[in-house]
Order: sequence, then structure tokens, then C-alpha cells
Amino acid sequence: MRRFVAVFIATVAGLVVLLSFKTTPTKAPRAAALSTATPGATSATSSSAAGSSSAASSATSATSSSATSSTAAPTSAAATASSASSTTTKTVTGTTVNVSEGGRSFGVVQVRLTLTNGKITAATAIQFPEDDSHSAQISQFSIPTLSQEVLSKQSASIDAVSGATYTSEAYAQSVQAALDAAKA
Amino acid sequence: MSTAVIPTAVMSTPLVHVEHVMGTVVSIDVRFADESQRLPMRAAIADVVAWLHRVDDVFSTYRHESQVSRLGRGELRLADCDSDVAEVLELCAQIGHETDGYFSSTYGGRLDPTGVVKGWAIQQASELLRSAGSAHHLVNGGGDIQAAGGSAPGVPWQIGIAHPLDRGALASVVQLTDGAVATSGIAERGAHVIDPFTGQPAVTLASVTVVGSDLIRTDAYATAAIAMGDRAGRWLERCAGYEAFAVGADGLGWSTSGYGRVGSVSAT
Repeated sequence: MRRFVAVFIATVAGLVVLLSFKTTPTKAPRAAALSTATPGATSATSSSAAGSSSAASSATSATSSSATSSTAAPTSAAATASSASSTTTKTVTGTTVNVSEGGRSFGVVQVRLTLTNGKITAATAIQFPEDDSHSAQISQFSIPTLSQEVLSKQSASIDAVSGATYTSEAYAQSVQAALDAAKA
Repeated sequence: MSTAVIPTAVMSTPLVHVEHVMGTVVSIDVRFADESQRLPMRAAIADVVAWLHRVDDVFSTYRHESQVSRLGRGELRLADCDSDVAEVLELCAQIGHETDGYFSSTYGGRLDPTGVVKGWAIQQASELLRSAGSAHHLVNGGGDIQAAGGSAPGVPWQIGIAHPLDRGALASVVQLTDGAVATSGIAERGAHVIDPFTGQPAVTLASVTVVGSDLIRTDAYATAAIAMGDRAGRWLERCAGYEAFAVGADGLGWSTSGYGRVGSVSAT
């Protein structure tokens, strides 16, 4: 499971490098995680992101070499620009990557990235190692920020917001306060 | 993709009340089709508000003379407190057990059941509204939500999940009918959750959102998950009836395998 996460992140990072991905300084935490994507830095990132123990980091270093060495030249890049707005969404699918360690094969990983206006908005594993049925549920992904534009496209008018408990003072600046005011 | 359910009734203007209580703000949103409901629902909201202030008086650890403060100092016996206090402490003990000890009703060595009190109070508030005849309402206690019904019959509530690293933005949207959503994290009050096993503030996860039927557990589980850090994903995966979505301090996220049934993450 950890092995899969490590490979998944390494593969995403490799794909990003090959795409000459322009980092987005406004999303510093996410960009930092994905843009330090030399193979060496990648394994460091993935071990800290996925790992909870020394066992995780050893598994990571064992697999990241095989993952990054065969990483993911983009095989298809379909650009679908929506005509209604200036938003450009691009989906890039990586090649399949065989994951092996010590001569034992663990299966195949393939990653699909979605880029909106040059920012990664989704990273999805579309093939998993077959013997790793729990991979999907703990695979990590970059968190897209749902813009108001996207929300209205989804016809998802928000009724309320869940978030870390705000103080009485911070409520005034919250989205929930704006919603309450709009409904009243 | 869009919900093809057409509301069977045209709903009236929502009845919305905002109350500053328990150190935060509680937003109450009651929906109904029949305008004759407005007056009785207004009365029900007044009862809820009075009750929330009563909970604050009894349970606040910020009030020197609250029953919980006096109980913690040994000036009051549990038997002399409101029966609600014993109920909440029993819930704290149960949830401590369910979370492998990551949820704790002490803070800094002092009795502090706050981690359960708010979820319990908001859930009770929803029950009060139900008893008064409300089938469609939402009570949001500072970001932790208990909902009854939907925003209209057959229409789920749309709950935005605040992005912990990008103030004002949403990281996910949850569709909620008769259920609860709670989020714990560092965005509003900093790294305030302590890992009880290390005594150190938990900093791995920027936020954890839990979706389930009851706010008592979704809220307490979200808090416990922050304390668990790297262990949280696997623990939440085992919680039957609860789904979760988390954003790490590094901006990467994960969700439980069933989260896609209640929420969406991808912007495309």
C-alpha cells in the first residue's frame, strides 16, 4: 500500500517534469510538493507524504528507482478547451509503469493528470497493482480548489460550509456568513 | 450527473437564524413549503437558541462557575450536575475507546469534554427542530453540520468543504441528506489538537472532514483523525458508516474509498 503511494506520487512527479510543468507560486504548499521533482527529491517527497514509519521510507527508496527510471512519457495529450470561457482543461495520461522490487513484480501503475489553465486539478491512478486492492483508498492526490466558476458549472449552489471551527470574530469573514446573509 | 429529482413542493423563503454562542457562531437554516410553518418554526428556533446557551452555561471550560469547571476542580460531584453532563462524559469515554485513545476528554490535564459537547449540542438542536415538526433544516455549529432532510424534498444539501490552505476557497463539495459533516483542522485556531501519545501538537494534516449520520461521532472522529496524523486514513477506512476526506499540510489529500458516494473532489 505504501509502496503504491510512493510509486504513484513518483509517477505523477515524473510526468510533471516531462511536461515541463509551470509551477504555480500562489499554491505554494501543493506546488512545492510537486515541483521538487528531480527523481531524488521525488522519493524524499513521497516518503514524507506517504510514510508513517521507517518501513515506509525503505519501501519507498526500494521502489522509486524502478518507478522513476521507467517513468511515464505522456502518450496522449488531449486538449479540450471549453468554448464558453477561457478555461483550458487538458488531460495527460502517462505510460504504464511496472513496479518491481527485488525481482518481484507488483503490477502496473498508470496515472492520468488533469490540468486546468496549466495547474494540476486532478491526478488519478487509472491502473493499480492488482495485488494491492487498498491502493485506491489511500492514494494521494493534489487538492483542486473549486472555484466559483466550477461550482456554478456543477450547478452546485452551496447551502453551507464545513471547516475548522471558526471563532465568533472570524465568522464575519467566513463564506458561511456570506451565505447566511444571502439567504436571509 | 445532475440530480434529476424535481422538488415536489416549492419551498418558501428559508428561515435563517445566526446565533453567537459557545465561542463560535451557530447558523440555523429551516426550510418548509407551507408558509404557515414560519411562526411555529420561529418559536422552535427560539427554543433551540435558549437551549444552546444553557449548554454553554453548563459545559463551558471558559466559564469559571460552569458545572464542568467546578466538576473539574472537584467542587461538584457528577451526581450534582445536570444529567446531560454524565451523558456527555459517557460519550467521551465511548469515543475515546473507539478512537484507540486518540480522542480524549482532558486537555492539559484538565477535564475538557469540549470535543464532544459542540457536536452533541448541534445534534440535539436538530432533534429539537425535528420534534417541532421540521423535516428540512440544517444546523451549522461553527463549521460542523447536522442536517435533516434536504434543502427541499429530494434535493440534498450542498455542503462546501473549506480549503484549509486557501481561505475562502472550497476543496470539495458534499451532498447531504439526513446526515452530518464535520471538519477539524488548523485553519482557524492553529495546531490546537494534541496527540495524546506524544503530547505534541498534531501537524501532519491540515484538515479532516468526516461524513456520517450523527454529528457527535463525525465531529469527534475528525478531531481524533487530526491527532492520528498518518494513521488516520487507515483508521477511518475501518469506520463503517463514515467517509472521510483529508488535506495534508503539504497540500496533498486523500479520501476513504466510499467518499465518492457522498462528495466530489475533482474540479473537472
